[in-house]
Amino acid sequence: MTVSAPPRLLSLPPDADVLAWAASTLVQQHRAALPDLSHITLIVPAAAQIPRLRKLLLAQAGGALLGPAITTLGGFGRERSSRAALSALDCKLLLAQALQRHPDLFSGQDRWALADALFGLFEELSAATPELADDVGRFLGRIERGYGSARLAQISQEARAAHLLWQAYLHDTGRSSPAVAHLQALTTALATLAPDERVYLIGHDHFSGAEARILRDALARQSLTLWLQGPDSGRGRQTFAALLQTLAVAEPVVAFERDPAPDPRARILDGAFADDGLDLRQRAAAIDGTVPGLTLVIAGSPEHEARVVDLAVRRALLAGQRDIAVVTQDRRLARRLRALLERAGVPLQDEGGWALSTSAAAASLGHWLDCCEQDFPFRALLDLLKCSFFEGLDAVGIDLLEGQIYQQGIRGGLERMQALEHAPKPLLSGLRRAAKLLPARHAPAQPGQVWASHLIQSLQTLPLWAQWQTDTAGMALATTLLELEAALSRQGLRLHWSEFRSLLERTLEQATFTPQAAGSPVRLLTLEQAQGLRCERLIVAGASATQFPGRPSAEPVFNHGVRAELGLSHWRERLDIQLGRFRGLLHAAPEILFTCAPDNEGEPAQPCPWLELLQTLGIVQADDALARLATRPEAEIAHAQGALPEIAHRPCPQLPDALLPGKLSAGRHQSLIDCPYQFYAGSGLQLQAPREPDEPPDRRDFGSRVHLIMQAFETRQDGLPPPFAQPVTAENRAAAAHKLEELARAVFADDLRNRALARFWLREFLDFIPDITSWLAARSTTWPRAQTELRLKRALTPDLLLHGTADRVESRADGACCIVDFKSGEAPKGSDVASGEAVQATHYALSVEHCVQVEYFVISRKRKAPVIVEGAALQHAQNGVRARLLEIFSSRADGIALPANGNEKTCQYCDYAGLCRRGAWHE
Amino acid sequence: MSKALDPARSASVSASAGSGKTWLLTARIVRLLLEGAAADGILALTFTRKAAAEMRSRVEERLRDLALADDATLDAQLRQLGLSPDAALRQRARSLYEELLFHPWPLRATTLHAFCQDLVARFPLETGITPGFEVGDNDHEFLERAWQQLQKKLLADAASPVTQALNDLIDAGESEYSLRSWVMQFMELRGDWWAYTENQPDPLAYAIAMLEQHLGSGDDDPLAPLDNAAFGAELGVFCDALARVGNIGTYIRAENLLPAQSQSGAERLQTLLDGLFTGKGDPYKFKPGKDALKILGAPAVQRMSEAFNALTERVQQVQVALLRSGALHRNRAALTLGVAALDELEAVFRTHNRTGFTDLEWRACRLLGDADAGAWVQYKLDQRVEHLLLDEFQDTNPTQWRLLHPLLAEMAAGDAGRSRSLFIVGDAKQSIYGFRRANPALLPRAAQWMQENLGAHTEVLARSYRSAPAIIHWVNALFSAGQLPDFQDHETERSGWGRVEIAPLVAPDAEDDADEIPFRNPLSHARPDPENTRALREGRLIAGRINELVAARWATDSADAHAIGYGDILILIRKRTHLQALEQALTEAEIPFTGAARGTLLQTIECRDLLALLRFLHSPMRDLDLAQVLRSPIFGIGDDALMQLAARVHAQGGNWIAALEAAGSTPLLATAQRQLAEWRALARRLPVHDLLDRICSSGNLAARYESALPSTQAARVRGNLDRFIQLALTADSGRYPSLSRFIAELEAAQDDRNAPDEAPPPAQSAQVRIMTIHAAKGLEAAAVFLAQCGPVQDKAHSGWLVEWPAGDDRPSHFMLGAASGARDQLSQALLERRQARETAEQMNLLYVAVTRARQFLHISGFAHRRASSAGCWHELAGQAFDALPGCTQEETRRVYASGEPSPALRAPETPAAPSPDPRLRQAIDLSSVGTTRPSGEAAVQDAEATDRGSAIHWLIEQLCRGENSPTAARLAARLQKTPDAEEFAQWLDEARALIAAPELATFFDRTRIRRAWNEVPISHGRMHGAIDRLVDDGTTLWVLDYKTHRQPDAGSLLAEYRGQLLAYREGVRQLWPGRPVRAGLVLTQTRQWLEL
Ligand code: SF4
Repeated sequence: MTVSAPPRLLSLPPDADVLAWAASTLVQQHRAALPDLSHITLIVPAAAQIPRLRKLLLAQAGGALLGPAITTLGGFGRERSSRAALSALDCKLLLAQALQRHPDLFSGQDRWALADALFGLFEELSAATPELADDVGRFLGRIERGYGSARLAQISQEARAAHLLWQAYLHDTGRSSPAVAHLQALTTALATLAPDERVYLIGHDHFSGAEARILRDALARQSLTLWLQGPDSGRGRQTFAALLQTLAVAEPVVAFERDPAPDPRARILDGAFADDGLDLRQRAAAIDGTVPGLTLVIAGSPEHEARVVDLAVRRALLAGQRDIAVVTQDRRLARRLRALLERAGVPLQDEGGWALSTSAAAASLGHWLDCCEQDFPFRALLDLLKCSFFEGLDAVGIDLLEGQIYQQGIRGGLERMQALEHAPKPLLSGLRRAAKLLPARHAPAQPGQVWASHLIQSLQTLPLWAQWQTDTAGMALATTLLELEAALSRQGLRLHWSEFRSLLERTLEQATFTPQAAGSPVRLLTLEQAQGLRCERLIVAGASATQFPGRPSAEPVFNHGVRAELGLSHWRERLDIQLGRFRGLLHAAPEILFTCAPDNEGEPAQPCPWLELLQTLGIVQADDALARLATRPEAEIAHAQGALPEIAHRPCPQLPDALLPGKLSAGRHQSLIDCPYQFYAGSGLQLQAPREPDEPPDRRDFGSRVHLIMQAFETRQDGLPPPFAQPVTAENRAAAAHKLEELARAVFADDLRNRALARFWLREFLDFIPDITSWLAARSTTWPRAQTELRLKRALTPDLLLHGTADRVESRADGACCIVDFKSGEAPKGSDVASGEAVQATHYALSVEHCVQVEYFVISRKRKAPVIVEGAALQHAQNGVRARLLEIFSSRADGIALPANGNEKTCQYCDYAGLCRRGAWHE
Repeated sequence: MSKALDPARSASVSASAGSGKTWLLTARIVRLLLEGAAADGILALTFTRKAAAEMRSRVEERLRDLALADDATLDAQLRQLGLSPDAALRQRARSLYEELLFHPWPLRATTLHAFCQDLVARFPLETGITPGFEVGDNDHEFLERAWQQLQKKLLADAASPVTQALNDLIDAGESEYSLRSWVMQFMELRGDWWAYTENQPDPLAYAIAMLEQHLGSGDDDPLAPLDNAAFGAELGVFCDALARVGNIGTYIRAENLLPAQSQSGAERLQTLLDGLFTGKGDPYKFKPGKDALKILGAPAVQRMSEAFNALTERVQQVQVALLRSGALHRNRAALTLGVAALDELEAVFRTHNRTGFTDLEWRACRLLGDADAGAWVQYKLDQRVEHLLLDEFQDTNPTQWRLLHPLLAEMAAGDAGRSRSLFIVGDAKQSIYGFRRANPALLPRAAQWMQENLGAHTEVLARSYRSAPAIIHWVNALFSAGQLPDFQDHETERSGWGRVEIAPLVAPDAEDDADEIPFRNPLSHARPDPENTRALREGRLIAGRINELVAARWATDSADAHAIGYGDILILIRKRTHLQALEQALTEAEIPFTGAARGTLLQTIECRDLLALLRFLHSPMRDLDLAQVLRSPIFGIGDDALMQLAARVHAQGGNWIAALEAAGSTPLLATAQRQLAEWRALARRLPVHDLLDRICSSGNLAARYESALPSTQAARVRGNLDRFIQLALTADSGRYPSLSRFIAELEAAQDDRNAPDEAPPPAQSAQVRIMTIHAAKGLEAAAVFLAQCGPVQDKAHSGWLVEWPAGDDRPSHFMLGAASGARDQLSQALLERRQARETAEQMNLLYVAVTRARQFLHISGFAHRRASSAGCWHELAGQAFDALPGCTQEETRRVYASGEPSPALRAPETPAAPSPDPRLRQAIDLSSVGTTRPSGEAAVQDAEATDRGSAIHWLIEQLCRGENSPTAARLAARLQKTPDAEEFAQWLDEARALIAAPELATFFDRTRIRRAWNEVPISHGRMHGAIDRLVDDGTTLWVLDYKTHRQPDAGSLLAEYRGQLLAYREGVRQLWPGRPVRAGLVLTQTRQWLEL
């Protein structure tokens, strides 16, 4: 086309390179002014197009160029606006207040969530149909038309509620909400152009109704030039055609004059998307020739898809391509791709924004809030200290603190932590002071700004605030907090802490940050940002039906039919726009790869329907080789590594004498019998699984309390009432029972204070007291002397000492003794004791002189009879167990080979499966 | 031609396994479309996402075929659908595919849950849910939180009725464990609870009143009848006589019973129970001896006997009353706690803006069931429901039926001019989801309803398109004995060879008693595990048979008639209990397999290692985790090195990481040391996903695990590692991505019902699949091995008993059962009925299992030492063989076969893989590319400095443009935030002072300037930027860059921006060649000019 006088309103088809055409046309048109084009303003749909347009202009102009200004429509208005718009947050706060004033309108709803949901609607309404704000009758009429019914009470209820609230919104925002302000700014900017100033809109395919009207008027005043791009024929053209029609009132539309012999891709794709009445077979037959370079991979899973894209990018780079674009709407895929490309040392220039809540900076804020909210739970505190934004304590200090927290089982509470011996006291005091800056979280509702500003103050006293300034997301976070504070102070809302926190979290969900883009050959764009794109290689990832075109949004108020009737954006329109952009994208590069994956593995993938059409017509070819290659290890980046590990076998380490324990407790002894490797790990390597401080108490804890009670019954224990200190007899049973109850109440007192369900423990024990006293009374005649928690030890060989703590050792005049073990859970079977599988009691028997009986006394609501092993059976068991120990330890000087021999039941409760590698042996 | 295809008529179809249900369903949808139904009016619902996705793609496939077929093929296809082709129909058939592709409201083939979610999302205000809610598959975590919250409340308020309820349960001797499980289960059953108490102003009071009514008991003291005068009189009569004779028989003795006279209440009851009843609770026989007759005389003995009967009868009545009263008290307390927990759950959901599918179902149910809202829903939805198709109807639960019912009723009511239809398909025999509240009785109920209200056609499909005749005959023999109610003999379309085999039950053998060996030396002998040993023996038997089968190369009935290979074999198990033994047997026999067990990803050794690594990176003091990581293939360090480290720790104290850092004596330890240090540093700053990706990549983890693991595990390791990394992306939608949160989520997920699955093996490798029967529903295989058919030990039941009769609007009973000794008659009856349903479902499970086989079915199992084999699957299967003539014996197996298997001509092909470019293994060297943006090089500034900078730049620009009084409002528009008034004044002063500064007059005094540009973009070469101010004084061109630093350090600023200034200067030179160009920084604070 010759460009002597470029048209004011031009429609370019999807295949045209609108930026290139615009650049050459502009340079020709303004050749006289070169190299100074600073009087020109160019407006493009997305900021991502600016660099390319600059390059093209420079290339056309040659050498160097001053100007033009290139911006987006929003930026254009903003730069020239004389009024600040309210922020979205301000508007939502106002809306939440309005909802509070009208509790009857949407009763039972969370006003914050509702404000979020209605904000978009009211913004669109304010922009599209401001005239309806004062005319509820017309508003209702439109809505009834949209629904296709006037009869239903709900329709008018919904409409009236929405209208009332919208009016309140307009009133409260003073018509300064973002959408209204944008339109005002645009109107003003276009009305106040300098005489020599020229404004061009390049490559747009869509405007909101109100924008279109403003542009139409400006066009009529000859204040601007519009070079639009969209489908002028075939599928998806309606919305674009409607836009042209709106604008054509001001200026006749000129259609772009195509090359008489268009590029075959354009011709074939136009044929594919034609809706000229021919059926698919006929159109397929009419498609002559092929379109090279359009391929598709349907991946088996999201990971596979990410790998395919990664591989395609790397192959393109290896082929020397340096202008590669990945277009996707799928942020998860984007994140995965970024990591995969980083493996190859390829940075990704990511133009899409990330929700602030997904940043490490937000995580650090979360830790601090948790600390303040719950008096420093140990996890939140440690997380805070460990995060990279908090440089208050070095790694050694953190380890030391953590070690003590675990040792003492401290779940939280700054005071308890400060009392620790090696606590970093100044640091903790600093944290305390910072936390104190916030009002108590149970405080009555406060002005929201109080919460925000105190939170900010507290953050500023920590290293966090300063450290955030070194991070893109951190900076955005700090800014967002300040904005929240400002908005809350402007709107003067009173909030409870929980409301403030949820408002803060919502804000962080909605706020975004864009990582600083490095000069990378690979760009990541959304479909919107990719308008007018041209590059060497394009990958359209996530091209599944769920992303392209996606699903109609579920709006709480009005359906899409009503939205259309009200002139708001609606699904059909969105679909057309998306299709138009998709059609444009098909011309963006000589080689285009589309990829998609099922939402969930194992399901069939659902490619974008438009892509499916192209595949059906044979225009897009499946690239199975690429799909397969992406699963091959040989296509993955390899890091130089030493030799690969050998195949694992059932281990049988030879534990040397030096690591063999000289002392053997009953528990270790049992572990040796259960599984020698378990013994090796626990006793030889001395590795233990730490108990988490916040692990809920379990039966073991009940057991330890019971042991304490029984011990305190016999001998004085710190902090507990005095012991009973006399043998229990039939006569004093009641007193003994009373004592046991007194002790139980004292021992369980802490639990009862901290845990509602601890009453179960107390009740279980109290219920069992009669059994205990009658048991004690019965024993006091046969075994007149008793000691509790008695430490036992006895050398089995010169270098093996058996030791342990018996719950109760009873003896009689002839020196014989009985060992009692209190069990609060299961007691072993008598047969297992006799055959040496359960060794605990036998172990104790071996650890003292003259033991003639061992007994497991079960203290549990299940009321099991005691398990007693005595006399010859006990002797037999002792002999067997002793002989076995001697045999096992006979070769200790050379070390003992300890195989991993646990059976299913032992392994189920074993902490060392990760060490012995059970399940990974090659047998 | 099936009448069920006719879209003009509603239809219900009962479709046996393999009878072409999916074909029918998709064919009906296509017929609907062909006959003019709008795509957006069709709603096809099923239960799994996979089934829904498959349905969509099958419909699409059919439409594509129609669109592209030539006339003859098209006509044949249309006839197959029961239509007579004509030109108009052909045209429609050809246009449908594209119509659907471009339809704004596509055909809805979705899950019932997704339908509810969509519905509720569109009606948040009506259903009372928060707009923008999220929903997840698993709400266990939220139930747990609700339970924690409830406990906090119980602790805080000792006087509340809920705390009182807790105390009642504690005093009744219940355990903490039971309470927790009741409360959790109650929350899980909330859908039933809501239905049970729907529209009741006080649900709790209502439930208790109902229970009183059902139990026939109130708050009366059940012991009272033992203390009334009449009973006292009878007791007196009996005791007086007994006192005289001393005893009746051996057990009824005066000394035991006489105290009862002076007792009351519970004490009296106990004495009577001890004195008059056996340990099992039956009354002793009243057999007076001769002495008694002599002492008392016949009439007194007779009277005594009457008194005995009266006493024992009354005591028994009291016992029953006590059980009832116990049940009532327990229920009252448990319901109180359950309802309180539900309140907490609602609060937790609200806080997290979450909800569960149960909740969605119920909300949808209420919405659709609301008579007023019905029409409104239809209007407000953008897509109406004109034709509803329901798949797998036997899996419907009562809430879902209630939810659908209004839609159906609305259809039945009719609407002039609207053609509407309903189609349901299911198979009660395949109902195996009772634990998800599915009720197969709803299927016949719905069919009947449809017949009555919609004149629906009913059809039974019992002709298999899947299984060979041998399998079908055997299935008929198995189930025609009445194990499945209404079982109709199946037929088959297939004709090829088929074979069913049963191996004898693996019996306990001598080896099993080896645990009796006294004083076993653990170093040489592992503790025996008899049941596992039997499972292993069964596994070996299966493995042996699989290898024989593969070696036989029998041809499958697939299109390419390939030989049965590992990929054609499915092993079905009932439970995962002995999965490991089975896997071990397959590994020993070198059979490649995939344990398609669900939810086991986090239990794989590689994922456990990664979790240990993450724990260690987060807390380096975790010695055991570190040791595990060292020992794992990540570093491949052996026990010897671990012992060295342990020795060092013993000798020097400290923890393992310190020992490792001090060691480094071997290359392996040195690598571990270096890499762990690197990863620890990364762990502090990278989000978890990126950290994991780095670890997997730089540690070469996949290759290392592949090298170390047995081949079957190695095949999955890459996929599993990738899945683990993907978890980090999805955890809490990527929010607040800290390491400790992720670790906590993984630890919680390990126990989840919906824990993540392992990766399937790479597609091209042929592997035997092991699956639970539940997971295999909907699948088929040429050869099926059904394992673990021996007896199963039933678990004791307790917990909530809910009964919801099919078709009723609400459950009829909702109560907490009790342990066997404390069980009242009502809960006993409810429990028995539930057990009967479960037993029936076990038969369905067997049916599903055996009908997966196309050609070959093998049955095996192992016996239990304690449980009897009577009635177990293996025995039933054996009986089927007995009933079939022509069975043969092969070695120990019984075989029923038809047709001769033919050996396959060729093995399945594996395509040759291309050899990849070796450069793909290396990082890519990117020489500098793209555009340079000089101003992008500046250091990141804090928010305040950025605001100040932007403001002053803008103000200078305005002043330069002649705008003498720029307003704060305009600046606010620019900055998108309102500046502080004081700050604004300062900035403006600073800008004005700058413009007026005599030392800078060259740049700002208009009289000395020929032309000037502000904020002007400049491009040249690869440089694009914006110059703050460019001044042409007629001779020289001046490039100005403003710097607004508060305490500017001239030297360092100049150094920092030198590159940028040079680039601008060069650009301007190119614009005006030959003219002098000077560039520099203007410091706004100090009004200084710093020239380059
Ligand atoms: S997991 Fe089993 S085999 Fe391994 S150490 Fe523990 S008990 Fe022994």
